[in-house]
Amino acid sequence: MKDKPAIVIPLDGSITATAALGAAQAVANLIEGVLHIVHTTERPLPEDQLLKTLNIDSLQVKCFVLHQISGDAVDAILKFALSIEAKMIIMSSHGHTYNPQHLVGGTAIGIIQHAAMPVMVIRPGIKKLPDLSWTPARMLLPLEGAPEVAAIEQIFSLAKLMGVDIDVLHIVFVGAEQPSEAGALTSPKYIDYPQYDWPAWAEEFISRFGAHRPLEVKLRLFHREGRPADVMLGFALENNEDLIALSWHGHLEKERAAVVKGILQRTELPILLMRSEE
Amino acid sequence: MKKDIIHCEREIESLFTVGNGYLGTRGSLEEQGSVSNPATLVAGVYGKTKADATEELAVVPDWLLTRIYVEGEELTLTRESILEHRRILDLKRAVLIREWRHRNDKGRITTIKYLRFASLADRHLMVLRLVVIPENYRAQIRVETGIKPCQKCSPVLTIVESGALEDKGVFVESRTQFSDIVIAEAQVSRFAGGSITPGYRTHNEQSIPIEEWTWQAEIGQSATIEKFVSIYTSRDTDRPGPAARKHVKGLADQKLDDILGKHVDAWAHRWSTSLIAVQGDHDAQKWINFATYHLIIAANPIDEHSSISARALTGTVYKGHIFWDTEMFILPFFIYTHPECARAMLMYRYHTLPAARKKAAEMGYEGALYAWESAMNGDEMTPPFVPAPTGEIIPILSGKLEQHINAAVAYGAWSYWNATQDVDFLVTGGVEILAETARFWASRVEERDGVYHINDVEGPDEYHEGVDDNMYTNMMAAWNLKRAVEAIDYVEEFYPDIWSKLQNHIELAMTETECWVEIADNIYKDVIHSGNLIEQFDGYFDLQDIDVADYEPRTAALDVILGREKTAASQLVKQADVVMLLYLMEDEFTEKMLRDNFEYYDRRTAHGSSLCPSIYGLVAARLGLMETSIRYFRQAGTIDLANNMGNASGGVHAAALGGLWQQVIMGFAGVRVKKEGVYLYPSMPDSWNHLTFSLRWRNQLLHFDVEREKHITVTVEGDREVGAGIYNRPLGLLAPGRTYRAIWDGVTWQGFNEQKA
Repeated sequence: MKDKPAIVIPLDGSITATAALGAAQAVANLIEGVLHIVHTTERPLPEDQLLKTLNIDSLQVKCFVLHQISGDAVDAILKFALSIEAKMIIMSSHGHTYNPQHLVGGTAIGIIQHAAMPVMVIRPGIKKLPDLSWTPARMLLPLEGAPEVAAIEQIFSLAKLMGVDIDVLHIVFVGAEQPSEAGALTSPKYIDYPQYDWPAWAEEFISRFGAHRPLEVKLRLFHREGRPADVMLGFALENNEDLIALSWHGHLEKERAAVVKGILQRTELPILLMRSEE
Repeated sequence: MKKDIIHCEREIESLFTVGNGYLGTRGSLEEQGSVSNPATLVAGVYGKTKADATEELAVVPDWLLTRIYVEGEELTLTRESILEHRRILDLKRAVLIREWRHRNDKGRITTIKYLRFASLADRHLMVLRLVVIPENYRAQIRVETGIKPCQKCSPVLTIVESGALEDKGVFVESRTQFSDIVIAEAQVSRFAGGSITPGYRTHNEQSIPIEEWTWQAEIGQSATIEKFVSIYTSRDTDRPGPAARKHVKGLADQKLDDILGKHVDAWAHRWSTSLIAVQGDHDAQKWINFATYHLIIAANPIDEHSSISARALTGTVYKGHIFWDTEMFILPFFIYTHPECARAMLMYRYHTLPAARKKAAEMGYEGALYAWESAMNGDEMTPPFVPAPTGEIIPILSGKLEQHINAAVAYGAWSYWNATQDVDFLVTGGVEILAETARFWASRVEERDGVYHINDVEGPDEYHEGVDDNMYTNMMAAWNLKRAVEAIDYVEEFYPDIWSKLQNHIELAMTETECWVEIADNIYKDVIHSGNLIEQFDGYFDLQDIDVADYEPRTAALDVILGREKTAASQLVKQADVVMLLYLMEDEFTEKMLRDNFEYYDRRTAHGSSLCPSIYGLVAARLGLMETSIRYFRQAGTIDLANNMGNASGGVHAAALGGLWQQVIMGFAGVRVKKEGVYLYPSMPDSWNHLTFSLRWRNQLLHFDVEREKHITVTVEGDREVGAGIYNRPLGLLAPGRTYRAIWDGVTWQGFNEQKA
């Protein structure tokens, strides 16, 4: 079991938290991994009682383990996920303290801001919650052109595990500042002759950001103009994307992560968040 | 380091290209890798992927390939193994140096030093030197060095033969598809390592011919491998294979340092006429040196059948196609620093006249219309459309509508003639270029009420296609017509016999030239439309007004942000169009017109082309708008060096580099060349204390030394008097061997006076 990829789903016993259960089971089955169901409590319960407490009627995942851990929920979940080298945490954006006015609940905020591995967040209010039959085929990966090597590599690795292809979307808009990191590559500011500059730019973009993608993962590159969150949501809809992957700096404070917030607020799809180095 | 190598490697390869005009070799790692895009491009060697495809420069087999093994383990550049790694492009000597300290997982540390160059003294010769030093271990070291066919990046080439040479060395012969150019590469390496007796063998590894050196290395013991590679093609000789082999074999008695010395001497000679020295602005100096280096390695004075393409020989992105950029942006550097190269570039246009005549005829016109994208023979290479990553199919109309390329070629030919008085060029090719391009314009114009119009064209501003009376096109066409008449009159008067033959050859009736004058005098010129403003084309002022400042900051070209339709319906300008006229036709306008038009178009220009910033910077400098000029200079200087276009990986932007040179010389130094001589009026950035540069003029060499707001010193190297002066002041005749000085009086530059010893 140790050799199998691990997926973690934290559940706090609320109905809203179970919104992610279908996706978690589907992904665990898809990648032939182990689903680790984690409950933070100071008073461990017997397994049958725990399942009832967590609102789990039945589990149809091939391989799962129940864990009851103690301490601060965010710290304990992250520590646990690290200890088993989890490939991904899948969770609902809200738990017990569900308030539709809030973008994400307290535990989810802590986890997405500090997790070292990708976190798939599912809003409990979306029209079509992923269930056991969920077999994602396409993942939307918006890239602004900053050299986020580690984050992108993790997303590629997950895409391979899940068997999904990636649509890379580069969005340009007025108000965007040029990324300052060495190796950044945004849309060509000058296009001397489009017949050569566009293909060359696309080739270079894929070479830079898709250099380490597994061969099994097919990549398509798209270029759009407009407000990033609007464009991403519209594109995802038009192209039948199954989830949206976002590389971000891990800060949800005021004035930051406007795109992540915009997507979290309005998307009908699961979001895969991966922290990149700042 | 890993991040840099992954993300910037192909960009570094472009910037660090070594070359000599005959060929260019990108600055790729010798051992290559998945992120490398190595390429050696030989000027004029084009092939095609299929019969109806466009011609593209072939990537010839890679002569760099070198791999080092310690006890059978290859040394590669990984994050874990790098102790130190740097590459230095020595612009002065034109050598690329690489220094690398590698530690393997057993703790063995190896120092590796590479040096490479493409000889400027012997253009068929490339040299690579490798030094290997095991710092802390004894082990067997093996070096494999060979010539690697690169099918991935050159689908237009097939390998004919490869193998070992007699005695020592290896070779590869390849052939381009559909053009049947044979490329022969021969390599010989040698070993120097004190008391070491190395093993040597050659072998073919998957069609890669390799020379292999093996030795038992001691701690700290240095071993050197010197590799010499010769390239000849069937463009150079009927038997390129024997030529390449003979060439490398002939180097057996020569020391690498002597070969390097000749190369460095050749470069010193080129720098002596090309160097621009700026005191007070380190960045500016770096940008200028970089531009000068890349311009020098782009041209070959002895090849009249190739010219400089958009990315020169540093990358494959533009397929080696030659545009109007060559004459308008790159050629001036050569005219005034190395006219021999300029002549060869213009003779390429002469040799491609048949294709230009064919294109004009096919479009229903007379004379010649040059291909917007030219390659081997001058046939039109512009593709009809391109799919953009937005999913949009963009029609490419340049090949049909950007007819102003004719005026660019004519402008180049005339400028060269004016600067050199090279009569042989004029009578061999210059007049014919001028006459056939003029003839095209004469058949192209439409007369209405005694005024001539040119409808349905595209000016340099490619955001507006199919426009009528583009002022740049009209005025340059008129200029083209007049210069053609002038050139014909000159040859007719001074070389009547030659003229008689030429006249028969091009079947020119003298009534034609009368007609050209009539058209030039009466072509539609929108000189005063709204106050002093020049309307870029008919109806331009009716388009939606736009201020580019409203769209900053942004990370994309403005036409991409706005979309094609909205862009075309607006006054947004891609690149210098009217402003190009303000530069080229300065004398046609009053000072107020120059200023008003510059300011008007500056606010509406998106700088969507790498050709743009330098020309705006140049005109701004002439107008004394120094802050604006410096801003554009910085923009132009960093197009490749900061990779702010996002596509330096496909090669450097040769025209932008030529534009940068023009901004310094024609802008900051304020040089204007007229028939009678050279004028200047320096107006330099605040941080520039001192500017020195040289210009070739009528076979003399003028050295200028400008001390900011103090004096300009000029010396003439040569044997004849030269007309030179301060712009807007009377011209003086400066004698060779003497020194002249102009003084800044606190308000303006005074005229030149001889400096007595």
